[in-house]
Amino acid sequence: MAFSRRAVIPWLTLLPAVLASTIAVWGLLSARRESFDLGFFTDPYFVSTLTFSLKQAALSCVLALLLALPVARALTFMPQLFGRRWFMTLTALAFVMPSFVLITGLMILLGANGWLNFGDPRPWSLFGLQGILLAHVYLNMPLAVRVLYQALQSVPQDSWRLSQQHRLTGWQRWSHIEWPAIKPHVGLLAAFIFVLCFNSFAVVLTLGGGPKSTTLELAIYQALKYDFNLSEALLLSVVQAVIAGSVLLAAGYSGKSSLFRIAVQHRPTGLAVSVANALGHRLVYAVAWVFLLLPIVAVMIKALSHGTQLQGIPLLAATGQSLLIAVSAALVAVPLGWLMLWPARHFQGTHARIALWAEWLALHHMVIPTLVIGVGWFAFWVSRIDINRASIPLLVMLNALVLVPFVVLQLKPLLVLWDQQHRRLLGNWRPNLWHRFFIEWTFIVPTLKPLFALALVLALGDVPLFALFGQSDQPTLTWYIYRLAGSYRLDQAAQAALMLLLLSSLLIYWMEPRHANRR
Amino acid sequence: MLTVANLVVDRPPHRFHYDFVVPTGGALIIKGPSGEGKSTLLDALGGFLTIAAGEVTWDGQSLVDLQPEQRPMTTLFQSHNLFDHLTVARNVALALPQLPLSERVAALEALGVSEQQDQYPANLSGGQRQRVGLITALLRPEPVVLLDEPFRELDPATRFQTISWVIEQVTARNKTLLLVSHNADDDALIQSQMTDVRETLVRLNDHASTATANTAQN
Repeated sequence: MAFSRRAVIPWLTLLPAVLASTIAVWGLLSARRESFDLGFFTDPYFVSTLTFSLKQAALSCVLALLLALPVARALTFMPQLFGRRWFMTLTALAFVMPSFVLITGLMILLGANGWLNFGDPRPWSLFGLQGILLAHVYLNMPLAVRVLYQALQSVPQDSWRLSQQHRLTGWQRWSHIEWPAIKPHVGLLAAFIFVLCFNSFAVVLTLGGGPKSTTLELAIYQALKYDFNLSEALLLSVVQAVIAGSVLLAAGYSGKSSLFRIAVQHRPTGLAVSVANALGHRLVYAVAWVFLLLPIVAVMIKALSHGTQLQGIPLLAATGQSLLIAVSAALVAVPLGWLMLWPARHFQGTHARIALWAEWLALHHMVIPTLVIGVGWFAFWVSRIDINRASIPLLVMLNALVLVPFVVLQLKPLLVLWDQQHRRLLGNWRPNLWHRFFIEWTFIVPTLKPLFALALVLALGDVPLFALFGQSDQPTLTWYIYRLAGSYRLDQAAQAALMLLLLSSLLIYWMEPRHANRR
Repeated sequence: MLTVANLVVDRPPHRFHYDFVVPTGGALIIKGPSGEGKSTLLDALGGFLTIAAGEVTWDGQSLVDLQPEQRPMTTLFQSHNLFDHLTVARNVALALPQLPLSERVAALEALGVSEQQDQYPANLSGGQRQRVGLITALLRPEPVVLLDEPFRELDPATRFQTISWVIEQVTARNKTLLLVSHNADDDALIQSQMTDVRETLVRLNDHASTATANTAQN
């Protein structure tokens, strides 16, 4: 039954993703001219690159988690916090914020003439490991806050009440209630943040610099863009994909839960908080606000303090280019992600193993670093078409491909529950294909809108794909900022960053649920 | 005629056996304690469960290999009989596309839920949702109707009216009815108004963890 003619159609929806991977692998395997030199793996350059990649990712991940925990606890235990909802919006913004907005902000604050970096000699250098860690913690701590907060929220009120009745000490409450609640999420969360930092491109590209602090991701880019050494890029890509993939698989990553939930609801614990604890929680909360706001405020002040020297045309052109690519990519990715869940849903319940395979196929771009797919595509198309002229369609397709797993992860829990509740009803009513589409479409549309906004923000932040396929005379906003910040034209970089920030904020604001608008 | 012959359904740790016959146009009242295999029987007949062994035929044609949407039956489940994100009118229209608007409205009026047409199911009472569900189940073209505790949430005032409407539709459309019931008064009402009503008792045998059902003609 699983392979009857009717069951073939759902599989067709997975074709674009599978085809894209095939093109990438084909490109990587066929285009290399040099033979593989396995001695490369003992090369000191490779060893130091690999070591540094792992080290920075592990440190970023641990720091992000350790700093997120007190914030998540403050959010959970304080019944009243000023601006809680805005804080949640800020965490969403910080997590999806294009890296270059943050980097510009950090350079204004902590760069060579940074506002917070005074004294002689300068106490701090933004470049190297400490800069990378700072940026990674900023980008990933908010995700950790959201996930841990959500996990603590799932503790039933009765448990909190019981802990009070049994007069549990703070430590007992932590080990018997809080830790068991967050434990199931920590492994996956840590793995996810580790991989995000391990695959990080823009941050390392700008703040890394020098062979001492380079990562695999950057080494792939350099091997391709500067040396056009495809076999080296391929070897590095394989190492990168294997490590990222095995970390996610080891953490039991199966798409069962979507880490980044669009909505995080607050439910009070009902616990009384002692004065000292309340003070601590409020302090942590305030520090988190300042930490997350500072780079944003820096960008705003810097951009607006030079309002007279607005560089209108190139900025608008870059904005237009960014929107063109990101909107098209999101428009492709959202329906594609929805369709690609079809086979997994079709076999759910009847053929669990096939369903798992289908789901893995829909998600497999999650573990393959963007740059690896990009390099493969580059190698495949470079001999077949004029890449410069096809730059925009290629960028749209690849960005869409990278977004699909996000869409799949966000939609899956919702649709699986819906199927469980309504599959029998559809079997009963036997609606035709059009009615079936109408029923599901009207159900899913309130979710698709914020999802589209999320996809759009993520695509606006793309750097690695543009670095490979983009035309430098028609830059996107991110690439434009990179060029300006790279040549220390921070005023102009801040203006462009502000534009990107405004676009992202608008989309995040639109995405975060403000009120239940249905029924 | 609906024939259920040595039907076996496995739901670990339980195993259920069913064996009965319902003539076309007749009714079968399925009784027994909660959680002992009544809904499982309806799910198996509707094609929503894989069966372990046995045969189900309708007018001599085997149904076991058919998809739910290919079977000559429609089910009223205990819950989720309407789409929550669509209005009552839209739900009824999607369930009964072959029926003209006037007939759909007439049915809603007959069961006293026409004023709720533009509401979402969540805004209806349990009894109102149940009545809308009954309309979608009974006015569909399939000749066999499976109802899982259809009158459970109805108050005494609407109960009589609704049961009478159901019997009227079943008789007028020559439907074959299978009905899970916990209420002796309802059963008595149905038995007094329909000609061929049978009963079956589904219950779990503690030792073997199996349930059996056989028809007993009244």
